[in-house]
Amino acid sequence: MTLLNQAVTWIIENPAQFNRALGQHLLMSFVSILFALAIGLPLAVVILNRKAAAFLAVNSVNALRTLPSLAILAIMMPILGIGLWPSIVALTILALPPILLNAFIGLRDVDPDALEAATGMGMSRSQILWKIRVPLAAPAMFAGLRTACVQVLAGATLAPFIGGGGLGDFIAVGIAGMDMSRLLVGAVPIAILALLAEFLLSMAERLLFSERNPAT
Amino acid sequence: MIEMEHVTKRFDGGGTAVDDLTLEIPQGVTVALVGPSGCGKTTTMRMINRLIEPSEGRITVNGEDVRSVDPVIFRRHIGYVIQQVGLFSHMTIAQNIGSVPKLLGWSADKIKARNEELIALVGLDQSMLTRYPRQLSGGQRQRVGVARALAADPPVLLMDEPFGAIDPIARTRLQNEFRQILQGVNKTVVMVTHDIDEAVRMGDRIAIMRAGKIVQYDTPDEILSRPVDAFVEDFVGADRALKRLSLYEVSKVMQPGVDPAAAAKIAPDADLRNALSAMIAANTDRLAVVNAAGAPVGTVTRDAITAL
Repeated sequence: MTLLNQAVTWIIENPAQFNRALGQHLLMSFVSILFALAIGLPLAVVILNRKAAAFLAVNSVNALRTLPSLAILAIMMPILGIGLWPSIVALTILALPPILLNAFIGLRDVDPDALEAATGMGMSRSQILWKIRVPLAAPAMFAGLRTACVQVLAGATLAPFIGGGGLGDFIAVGIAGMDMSRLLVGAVPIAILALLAEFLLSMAERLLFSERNPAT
Repeated sequence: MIEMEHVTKRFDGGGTAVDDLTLEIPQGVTVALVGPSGCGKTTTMRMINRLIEPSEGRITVNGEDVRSVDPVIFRRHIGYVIQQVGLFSHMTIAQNIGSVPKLLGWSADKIKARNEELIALVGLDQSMLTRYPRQLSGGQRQRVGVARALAADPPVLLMDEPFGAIDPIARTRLQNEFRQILQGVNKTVVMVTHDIDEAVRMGDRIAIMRAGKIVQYDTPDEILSRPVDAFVEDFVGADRALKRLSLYEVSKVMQPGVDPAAAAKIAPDADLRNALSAMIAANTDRLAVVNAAGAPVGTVTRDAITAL
């Protein structure tokens, strides 16, 4: 507990430094999620009716998933150098698999009877996509977003290794200086952020999609 | 009116699902396409709204060649009901029923009024309109499916095994109700089923199919009383004489005058199959026909039934 107390004391005494790191952390995570959504969702739609492209995309993304976050950061360094942007690119890559896979599978596995009925009643392909497939796949897409948020918030911890900053800075400093309390200044808020993201997004998920479940 | 002329459908694999089929369905008539699985009945139906394109032949709906129109627009004027209903689970019942009117650009007020009319037509409460499909029973969903298909008042309705997913007790009731509804709306209906009882109950005409061809196309009475060959005879079942009796009501063969010897009673709108069954149960050859108020209105005899 003393370690935790020391960590809290440090935060109170250095609010500017802490807030800057927190801000960087959130900005990095938020921008990467936005990029991953901007790439992943349209890509899922594009590969929906293209078997070969879907096979390629799903397997590439699965291969990406097997890479540890640190390895992705390490790969980015020689390509993009150091700083905030390389971290964002690396985190985007980290967020892409859950977003793309969930969206693709959600769109692909939409109730075939609903699709048959929609086609039979005279909806065009794009109407079926926007009025039927996307809304029906929305819960799956949202679940992908949730996973991606948690992964990115946690993964951003490693950004300091390529000069990206964020809360991971404290952890890096803590490890380097064998200072456990400093390490906690980074680790505890990161854990709280990840848990909070998970909690808020599952709440939102329940609110958004509850009407589809039978009344109890 | 639907006309199919020398329609053939060959699939890429080499099989022929529908083989030189010619069928004419007059306006306002319900035709049941019936046959064993793989006989081509579903393919035949799906070619009408171009969910499947025929390899050869011509199909016209109300004089218009179905290939001359945009299939997407065309389908909005043909009601379509499938076995699993395929309601959109993210939409309310009102939004489901209003799908086609919305595609056609109806105003919100017009859609709302039409929804209320249709939900009553299929025998559901207005409160259902704000619910979601998962809150409904299977039978209720199928009613909504029919309401959705009828929404834009299409002249033609296609139904693919519409009662297949309904439990047997609710099924008969639903079939009888839908028969009434369809008679009220004057639609040309093509219904696919593998169940001859359903075909007899629902169809004005029955087309019995086998291996991509129509073996017999006739009224239920003709099919049951004069099957053209052994296949049809076998398909309609050994109890075809009894099935045929279920087509007619007691009032058709009722004789005036109350016979004091009648040991049991029957309603004038009961079918003759049930009348015969009641005679067997009471071990008698005549029944007193009594109306809903309980007043005797006539007599039905076994001879009159068997002479039909």
